[in-house]
Amino acid sequence: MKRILIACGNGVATSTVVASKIKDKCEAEGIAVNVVQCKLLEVESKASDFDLLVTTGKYSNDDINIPVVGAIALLTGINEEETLENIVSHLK
Amino acid sequence: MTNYNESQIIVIEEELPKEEVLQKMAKLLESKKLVKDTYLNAILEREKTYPTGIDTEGINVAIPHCDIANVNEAALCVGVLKHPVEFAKMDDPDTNIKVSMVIMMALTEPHGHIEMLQKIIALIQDQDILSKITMTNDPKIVFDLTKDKLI
Repeated sequence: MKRILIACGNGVATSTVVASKIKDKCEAEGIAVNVVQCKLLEVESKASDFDLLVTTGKYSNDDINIPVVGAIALLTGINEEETLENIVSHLK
Repeated sequence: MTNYNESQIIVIEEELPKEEVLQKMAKLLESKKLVKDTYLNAILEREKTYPTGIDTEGINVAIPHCDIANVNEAALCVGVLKHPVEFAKMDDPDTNIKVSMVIMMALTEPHGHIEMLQKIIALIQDQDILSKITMTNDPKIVFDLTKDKLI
């Protein structure tokens, strides 16, 4: 079971949409995932328990040592499929 | 059930700074007791730290929202900006984009509202509807165009 941490400013709105799209994609690909949402502020303390970090806002932190994927494409729809493929590639 | 109706649509014809646009919209929600008196400040602070401008490469939209602690009842307020206003990009806060539509969300459930959020994101991706919305000055027309697309 791969664990994905999904973060946005409040951990309330855009991460909910992104989480839903990622769950749908993983289900279609037959990948079992556990998805947790949080605020960007909480990422540093949580990231070590996860295999992948997905964010809607900008996030850079050298202390994070898991892969990070920016998911604004899942909100704008521009390059959405490429971004989902990129996320999946980190889960295989 | 999300509180959204024609009286929660503001068409702003004059050129205003972002803060004043957010203030007008937040105060409208506050006047209806849908949000607490802390909501406006929370929205302004949030926009500084984690901006909500979404670059669609067309008609751009901002989706200001804040912590559920500042909200009484789930609600939306829509602002149509006849003079596009600069918001910072969600994925790149150092870059500004011109925004023509603001969808202010008052949310009450963490990780909830999924159907409404999905609809809002689908609307943001629908440039045909966005161009119709930004073309009119009539809140009633904006409401008719958005009622099924937002809630």
